[in-house]
Amino acid sequence: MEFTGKVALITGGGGGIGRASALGFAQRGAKVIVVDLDHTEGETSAELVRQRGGDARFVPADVSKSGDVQNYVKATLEVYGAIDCFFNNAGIEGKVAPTQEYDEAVFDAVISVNLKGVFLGLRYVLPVMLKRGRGAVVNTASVQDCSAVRVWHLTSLPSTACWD
Amino acid sequence: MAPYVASKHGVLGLTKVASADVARFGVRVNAVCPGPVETRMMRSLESQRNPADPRAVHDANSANTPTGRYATPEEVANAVMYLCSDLASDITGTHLVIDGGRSGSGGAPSGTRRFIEHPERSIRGLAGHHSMMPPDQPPFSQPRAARRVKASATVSLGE
Repeated sequence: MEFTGKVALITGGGGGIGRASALGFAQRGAKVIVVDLDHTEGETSAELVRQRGGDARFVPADVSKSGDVQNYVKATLEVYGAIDCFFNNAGIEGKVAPTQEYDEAVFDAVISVNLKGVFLGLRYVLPVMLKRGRGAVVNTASVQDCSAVRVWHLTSLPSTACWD
Repeated sequence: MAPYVASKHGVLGLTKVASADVARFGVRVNAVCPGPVETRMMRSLESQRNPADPRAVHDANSANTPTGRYATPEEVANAVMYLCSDLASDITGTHLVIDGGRSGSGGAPSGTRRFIEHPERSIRGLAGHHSMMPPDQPPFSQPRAARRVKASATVSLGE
């Protein structure tokens, strides 16, 4: 795989999978925009790319806010002029609690970041890609979508070990 | 975990709809579905599940995975890069699972079977785990086999 001359935009780029992706894309030649709510972690990812000879910038954003999303798209275009790869990855885990006890405010927060944030990313990045007639997006879901048969174990037994 | 699971189901929905909306214009949209990965998020979930011994949750999750371990962030990143690359030029509206075989093992991964058959070998944190068959019930294979026999008997009578 080769991304020389391509631009990769990565949300949640300050965290584990996002940071590994930033480094991976950069290692294969891409210029990278790291988006994260956490300034320190986001800037660290961009710095790690630069230390290894790559090209990366950090743009802070709360992906659940339309203005922030429009800003990271605008910033990417201003700095690198295009978006070839969009890793729509930012997400939060919320709390481990059964549905019948789940805090409403935490519910709203998780949906805002994980669902609305992904939608907003699509909403404002896709037009940029469509204008050029090319581009690829990868959203981060979870194996929890794919093995729904076991999802109930999570909520019914919060004190036990199973994750999915 | 209600909003997390619901939101991730929603992400797959967005992936499918968006991919169909833009496919004719040269843009692809896919998703990755990671299982447990060595990340801050999993550390948080492990600590929430068992504040006294989060490592036990990590061990149990690993044992419950056919590969016997979590994915590394790099392994998920590799799948992301593949889907973004020209190697995946005809792949859109779908997802790649990076979970060490968890979802492919039908809900009873190898670690679980070992526990059912040899409860004395259960590791710390796995004991009494309700995602496995309750100890007072027979393994899945028994009722399934019984159903198959009944079905074939019905067919024989019909003939």
